[in-house]
Amino acid sequence: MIDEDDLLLEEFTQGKSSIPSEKNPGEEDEDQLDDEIQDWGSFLKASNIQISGLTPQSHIVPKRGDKGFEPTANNYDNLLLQNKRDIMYATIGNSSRGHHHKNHVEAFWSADASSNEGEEQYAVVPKPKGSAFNSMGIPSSQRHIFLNFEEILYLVERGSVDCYLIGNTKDASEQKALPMNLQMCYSAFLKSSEDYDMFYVYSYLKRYGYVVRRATEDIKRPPTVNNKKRGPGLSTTFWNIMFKKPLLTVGSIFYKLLGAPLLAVLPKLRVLLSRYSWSTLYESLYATSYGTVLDYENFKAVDTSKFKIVYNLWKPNNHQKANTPPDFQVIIVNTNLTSLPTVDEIKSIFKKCYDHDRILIAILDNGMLNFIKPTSSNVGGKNAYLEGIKKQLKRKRNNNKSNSNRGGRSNKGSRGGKGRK
Amino acid sequence: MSKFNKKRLLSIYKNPLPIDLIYDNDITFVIPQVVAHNPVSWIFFASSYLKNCLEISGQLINNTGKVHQSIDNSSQKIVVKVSDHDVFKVEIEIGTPESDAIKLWKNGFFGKGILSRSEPTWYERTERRLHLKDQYSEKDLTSEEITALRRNERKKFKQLRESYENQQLELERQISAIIDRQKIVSTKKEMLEMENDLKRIQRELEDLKLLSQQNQDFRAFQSSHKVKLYEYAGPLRPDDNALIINDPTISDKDKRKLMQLEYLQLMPVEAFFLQLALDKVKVFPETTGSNELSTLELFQRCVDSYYSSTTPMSRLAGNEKFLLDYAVYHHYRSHGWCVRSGVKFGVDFLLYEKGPPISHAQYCLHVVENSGKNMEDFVEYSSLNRVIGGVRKTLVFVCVDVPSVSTFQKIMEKIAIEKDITEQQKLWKKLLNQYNITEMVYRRWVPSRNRD
Repeated sequence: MIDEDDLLLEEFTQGKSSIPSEKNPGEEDEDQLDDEIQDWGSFLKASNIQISGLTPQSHIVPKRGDKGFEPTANNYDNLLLQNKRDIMYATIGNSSRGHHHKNHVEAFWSADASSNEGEEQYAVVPKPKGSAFNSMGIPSSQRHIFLNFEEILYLVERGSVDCYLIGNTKDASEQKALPMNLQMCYSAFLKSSEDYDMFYVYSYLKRYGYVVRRATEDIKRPPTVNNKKRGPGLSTTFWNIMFKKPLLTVGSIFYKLLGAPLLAVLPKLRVLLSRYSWSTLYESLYATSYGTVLDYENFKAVDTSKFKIVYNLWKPNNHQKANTPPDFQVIIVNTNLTSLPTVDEIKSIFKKCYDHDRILIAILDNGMLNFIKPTSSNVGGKNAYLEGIKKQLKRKRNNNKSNSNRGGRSNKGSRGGKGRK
Repeated sequence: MSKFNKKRLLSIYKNPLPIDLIYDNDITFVIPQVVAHNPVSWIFFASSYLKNCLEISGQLINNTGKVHQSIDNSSQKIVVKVSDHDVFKVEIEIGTPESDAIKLWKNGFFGKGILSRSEPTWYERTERRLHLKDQYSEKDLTSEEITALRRNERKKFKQLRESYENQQLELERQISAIIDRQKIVSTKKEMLEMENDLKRIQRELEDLKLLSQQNQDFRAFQSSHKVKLYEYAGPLRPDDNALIINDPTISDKDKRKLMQLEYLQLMPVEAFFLQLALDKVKVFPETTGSNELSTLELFQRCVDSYYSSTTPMSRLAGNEKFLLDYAVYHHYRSHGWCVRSGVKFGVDFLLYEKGPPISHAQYCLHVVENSGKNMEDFVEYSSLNRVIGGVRKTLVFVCVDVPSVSTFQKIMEKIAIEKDITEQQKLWKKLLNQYNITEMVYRRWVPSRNRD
């Protein structure tokens, strides 16, 4: 008699067993894209490696958090998992890794410690190859490329570049160069925890495909387009001169002659007026002053040296021209060293930066990286109740209009409206 | 059980504040737009404006139509009692449809019923639970009861599903037992018997599977099973019995009446707002024979309610938590928001556009003093943001600029001396004007979702 588990294993390894797929490609949430499980089976298939007992079938390992998923009495799920693991190890262990000779790129890092304190050291790539250098490094006149420490470290870590340490800069010959392993690179390139933070943020964003560059120069603010520059239209001017101004003057005279003394004499009338409608009532209640973080024009800036803009960020497909303004600008905050910027600091940053809508704060909290974007909400700037009524009114008006417009036509439109509700 | 009809709700909770407007015509007062270069629109404008003015003045003079209320409303002030432990209580009268507490709730959603989720409904619910009142329709059910009913239904649904599953497992076990036994029996007769058994059980299993398939849909279950809310109808428990007033003069069983244990509790900021801004309440200390608290006394009481000991007025610095909270509360209330406590989500206030029964709160306000000191550490911010993001709301940091101590004290001294109420009001307003409110939102930015 065959044990049930054995039977299952047999079925499984022969690829007969079918577990209903939980994945529905159309419904996949964006959230799930982040924790998608690497399918090593397809790698194994692609690399044509034959290992006895392992068949690269794409079985679905149940995802965590599936409701109603409970372990059954047999070890069926363990078998599935073990098989997946075996495939992964087989793929990694048996495929050949390395550079193609043609794409081999070398970089040189000078060990000369006498370079001036505070001056940045660069790695030199004499013969840059590949598209990676389109968006990295500083090109020199001799077609060399200079890479700063996070760029070279990122490339070495990716395995795209071999880095060599050279001794004396004067007669730098490639023969004397010492190949550097990753550990050496880390210790040579990263000199402080700030450097490490920078590298962490850089490589994180780079891996998502962003073009990341040091923000060395201040980008000029675009000249603000003044909408009010154009004078009012002819009809409005006419209206203002002929009616608005006289009306206002007449109104103010009336108010001075009759209204003001009346209001002063009859405080009860004032109560009456404030109780006349919600808008007047609310007006009588306004007392506090209000602003958002975007009111920075006349703000006296505070010291924001803690929050320097470190990187300019372009979206992956938005870096065609050299002088495209960056899509985002990144400030790095290490929570062990600095706290989050206060409102005043945010306002000062906004005041100085290129565009307040492009500022990101990269928050490093003991190795966890999060990005936040300071914005304004303007919740308290408008009157929620009166706005709601205005909206209601507008809807009413539109309804009336569409009703009268429609006239004898079929009620197709109204049906559509109902459907939306 | 569906949610309440929104239109009906809007007609119940029409007013944003417990104020009776003299002429409440915000919605019907429609003036056509004026287009400057179109003289015809002027005529339209003028005619409708005149018409409206005539209408209003006519109503004001005749005191008919939509005019609800005289100017003097001091007689209608709501009585608030404050206990020794700074609990602001509003009694809920039984039997009157518009008692003071209900009025505060319906017009602007002030306070919380201490035995209810928010709207004070304990009395109605308990009446139904104890079967003192058995005639009610689905429309009368309170939100707590609707939730309970829904949970009850779900529980029943799951019980049924589980029973099907258990039956299925049992049948499957029987099948495997028979298969096992088949291997050891030798006689043909026994074999045949087992074959038959197997077939029978398999048929049963098929039927069961069909049945449980039909029960997969919760909606179908809802329509076919009527779940009752208060199923227990036996004798009352002693503690329930203690809730009923047994009037010895009336022996009739139907006349048994429930005691009212619930009251509406106001937050200190709510009580102070109702007194200072709306002049709608009278606050009395709970100890008998005490006089009504003046605005200044109430202020002192509210400030103290945040601390364990009292601080004399001259020692206040102007940045006390109550003052920050009140400035923020006043600001958003005066801007038409319905502001309620945000303690459920770890923040200071929640902002509702209309109110809790009508829509979910959109914003959570976290009040901080803008003092040049550091912000919260990131962990605190992040946990708050995650909790609030999880309930689909936006976390807003409300930073309050505080006046200097000397400015604050100067105004407070003036308020203390001022006897004239309108002048005092002006001074309070001036004080509030010293508090500047700045909003800021930190949104989470995810690299994988902003690539294009």
